Amino acid sequence: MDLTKSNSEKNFKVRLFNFWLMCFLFLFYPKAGFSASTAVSVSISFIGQKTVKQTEDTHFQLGMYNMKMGLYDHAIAEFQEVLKLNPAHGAAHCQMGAVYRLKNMLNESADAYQHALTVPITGNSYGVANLCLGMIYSSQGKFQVAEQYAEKAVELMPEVANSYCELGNVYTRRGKFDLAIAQYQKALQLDQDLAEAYHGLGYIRLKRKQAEKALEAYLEAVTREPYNQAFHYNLATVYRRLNRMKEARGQMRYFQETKAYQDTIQRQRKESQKDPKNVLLHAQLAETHLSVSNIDEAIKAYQTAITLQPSFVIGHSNLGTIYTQQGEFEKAIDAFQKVIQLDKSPAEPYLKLGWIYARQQKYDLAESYLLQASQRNPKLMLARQGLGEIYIQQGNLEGAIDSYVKLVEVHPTESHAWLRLGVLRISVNQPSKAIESFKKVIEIDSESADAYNNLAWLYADLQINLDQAVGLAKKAVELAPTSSNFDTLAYVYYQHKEYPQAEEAIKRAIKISPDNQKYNEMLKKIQSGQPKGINE
Amino acid sequence: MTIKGLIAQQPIIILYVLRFFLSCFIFYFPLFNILVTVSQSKVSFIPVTKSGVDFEHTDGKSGKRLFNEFLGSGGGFFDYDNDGDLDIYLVNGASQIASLGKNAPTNVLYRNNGDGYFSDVTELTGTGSTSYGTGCTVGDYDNDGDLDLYVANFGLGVLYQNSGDGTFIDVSMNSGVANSRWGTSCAFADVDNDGYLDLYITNYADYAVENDKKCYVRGIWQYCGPRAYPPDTDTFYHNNGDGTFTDLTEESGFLNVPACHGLGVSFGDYDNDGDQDLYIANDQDPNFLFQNQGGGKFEETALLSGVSYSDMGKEEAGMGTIFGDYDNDGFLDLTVSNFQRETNTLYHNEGSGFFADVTTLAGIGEVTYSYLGWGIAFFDYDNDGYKDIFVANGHVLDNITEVDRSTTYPQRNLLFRNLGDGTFEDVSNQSGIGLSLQKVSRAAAFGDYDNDGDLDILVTNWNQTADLLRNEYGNLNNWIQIDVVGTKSNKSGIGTRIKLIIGDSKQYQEVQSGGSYLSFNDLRAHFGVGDAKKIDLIEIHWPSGYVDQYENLAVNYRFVATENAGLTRREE
Repeated sequence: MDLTKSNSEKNFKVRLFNFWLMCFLFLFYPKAGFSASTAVSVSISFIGQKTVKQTEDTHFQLGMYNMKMGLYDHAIAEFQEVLKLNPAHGAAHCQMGAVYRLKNMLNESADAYQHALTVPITGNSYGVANLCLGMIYSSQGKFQVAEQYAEKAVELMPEVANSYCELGNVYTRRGKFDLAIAQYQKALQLDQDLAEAYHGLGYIRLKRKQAEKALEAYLEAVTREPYNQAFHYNLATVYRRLNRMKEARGQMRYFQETKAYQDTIQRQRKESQKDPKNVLLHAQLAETHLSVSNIDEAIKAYQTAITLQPSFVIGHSNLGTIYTQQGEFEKAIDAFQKVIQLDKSPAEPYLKLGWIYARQQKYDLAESYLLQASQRNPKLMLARQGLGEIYIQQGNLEGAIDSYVKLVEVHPTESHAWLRLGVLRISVNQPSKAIESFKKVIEIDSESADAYNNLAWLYADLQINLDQAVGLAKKAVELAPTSSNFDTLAYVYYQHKEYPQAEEAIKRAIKISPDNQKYNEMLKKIQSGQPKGINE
Repeated sequence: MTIKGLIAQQPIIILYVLRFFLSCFIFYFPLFNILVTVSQSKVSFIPVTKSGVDFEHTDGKSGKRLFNEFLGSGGGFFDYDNDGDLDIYLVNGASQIASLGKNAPTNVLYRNNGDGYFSDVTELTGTGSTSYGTGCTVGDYDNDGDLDLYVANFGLGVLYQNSGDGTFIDVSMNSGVANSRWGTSCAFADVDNDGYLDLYITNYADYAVENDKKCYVRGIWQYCGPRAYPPDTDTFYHNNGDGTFTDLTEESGFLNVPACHGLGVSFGDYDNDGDQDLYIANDQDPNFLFQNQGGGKFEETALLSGVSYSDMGKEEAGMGTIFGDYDNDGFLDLTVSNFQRETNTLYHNEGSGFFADVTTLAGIGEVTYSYLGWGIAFFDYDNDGYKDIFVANGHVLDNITEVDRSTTYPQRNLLFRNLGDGTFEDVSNQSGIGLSLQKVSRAAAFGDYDNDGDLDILVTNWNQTADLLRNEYGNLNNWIQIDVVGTKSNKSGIGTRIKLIIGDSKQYQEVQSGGSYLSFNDLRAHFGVGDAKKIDLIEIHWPSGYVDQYENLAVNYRFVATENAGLTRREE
């Protein structure tokens, strides 16, 4: 199947393009704290080892890889191979149990974990098996049995916060609230970010009508796990109980949004389980995560997709975009380079690399990639615009003008480009061309305050068309009553020797920006009535 | 039947004088104040095997696992012939693949002979619908003094008008209530307090047998779940007072919510503002709480009232539901039966429009988690003054064990005894053979069919015989039953709230026509009063706004309360 031609992919492109447009307009903002999963890269390197002798370990590793990729039946087959070679492989039994749990085959899962308890211990296999059996039996309503396993898990894994939390959950289910609180507190001693433990505490406090204390706990939980619908629901419930209706309604809205998101995720994961190698399903999943800004999960979904299909161009490209958004420029560069390796024809990856390098002030590289982008797609406005801005940064105003001229040749109605061109032409002392540019802007966009303002200023500075200049400056102020536009109006009146009007206009500018020294100096000049050029 | 006026109603002025002396009496003899006690349960439920109720449900036995088969069908207790004892109506399925002619299964009406035996009077009464039946309810919609019967079907609903001579007439078409969708539970209530009963029907899904799908779980063919077919909106019929109804579903605000898979319905005045509100249990959809804004206009308020989702913010497979005041605080609480791996839910009405999910605290959660619940009710089976909970269980998947060994297709029903402190005890194992039956139960209805002063249970079972469970020894504690007759209010007195006071103890009960699942209960209000020897005061709050008060009633009697016209003891 040619994935690059599917409609779904086009949709992904369109949606992410909006992000790029935003990046270009506002450039980039740094965001710290991202940590990408390294597990997938481990798996990628493992693919290359498929020729290694099919030993017990290899089957185990393949099982792990398949499980991670959502290829559950393959994973089960691999773990079964391990167990044929070594029926006492405790970890294989445990992982088998894990896969069955992921497939929601709880009886089979329980059988596998029970087997793990009958073979010699490896690592913490007994602890894990007990913990998971506790969870399975709990979900089946066999709380008494679940309690025994969860208690054993705590005994075997006293350093694992989740053991205590699960035991707390079972105690809660059984109504043993005091015991549950103790377990949740132990869990939080080991891991103070364990949201589920806070939720457990909140749940019990709410049941005990300790609403204020429940509120504290739920707020902690929601802060740590903002995509958990149960947390939002119970937080809203606490607000409702406290009769804080506005907050209750707000939190219920969050709950409904989170629930809609989780429902979609659940549905998409089910679909993906039916067809686990379909990378588009993983990409859809990533899109859903992106829709609520759950960046970490979106990255994981795309990583799974590109691990399953390394030639999945859109996966790499969207991953690059997300990394860019996160300020993870090196990872973004790797992703876009991968896109280019896979397909050199599209302009977009060159454009994106150009902009990343521009953001990093690596102007030579930026220029190179933006030029390549323009070559591949001469109509690519953002490439021309990017080149223009790079040249400006480098002081190459002629180069910048050239870029913008080429831009307006292919996009003649692009008013922002004409405006930029006008300013550049003033800078290189081409007033008549600048006037033409500003007039073009007004022709395209009659609401462009900047164009009216710039043209008025230019006429005044050139001391031509002063009557017209007054009208233009007034229009600019009408459209955008900013201090700079009032300053221009004052300047135009001043040049027109209408000093009272000039004084009134500059006072309006000062009122808006009282600390602007230039406006105050202008006021003095106007008041002194000396018709000297003020822009000297 | 005769009404004997042994205990006449007391004029209110006299009552106030009497109350003064009573209060003096209580002040000096405080021990007399503590009349209602919680006693240990010795009650058992015995399946009545030779009563003449030999009904066996059929889902049509298509062998095709058609989507509309697994819901089962309902039934209930009502005194259709006004002879003072409860008769039984049971709804049946029908063949969907072949015409069986005269051998087609029908709904069945059993007349209580008053001697512990029932006679099949289906043909005689004309109530043997052969449609694919689901739920049913009763109420005197035409205010002529006898109970009429509505049957919800997969297909056109049927309204049987009671002629008062022991026969019924199908008036569905002329009255305008032949709901053409897949109706499930239904209930009568006078939502605008105009004296006439309106009708609400929950509808399940937009499904036709011709479009039936086959569903598989891990390659195993099973009944499809509710989400296999789009849900349908419910139906509300307003009674015009002239024998006809108008569909006012939209005008009343019931379409301001998304369509859901409706299964359970219960009317009750949860906010104590004098009009009937409505709770709907939906299958794998959020549940609805419709607050009556007055004049029969409703606003859905479940989310902020805390009764829409589970306490984990998940929609559950709501099956049956009922309002009832289990803690005697004057506010109607709620309970809902759900799927296995979901608990049944007990919501406590906090009195501020908010319900707290007290399932775990009350001791209901752990036990019910493993069962798939349907018919459910608050009822005081041991007459100790606190409403207990019964729930009928049974799986929807006949081959469930092929994919899940942790559960079974037939399941036992559960009985929870209210301990009077906000908690319940599972007494299923100590409550007789009737509670140890393992069947595929669906509906459950409650009423004192043998008039011995304790509440019996009628359980319908999917493709099995129904069970009539006689309560033995529930009447070791004292009781009182009130049959209400409206004059300005609807004749059946549905929606009437009765407050009973013994010393410091109070109990509240509303007369409800629906509730549970696909079924209806005895309309007489039954109060267990422990070892109390008399009732200090009964206050009857009629839907019309009238309040009648009666003092010093003897226990272990049935009374008839006529709105604004007195109370008489019913002679057996």
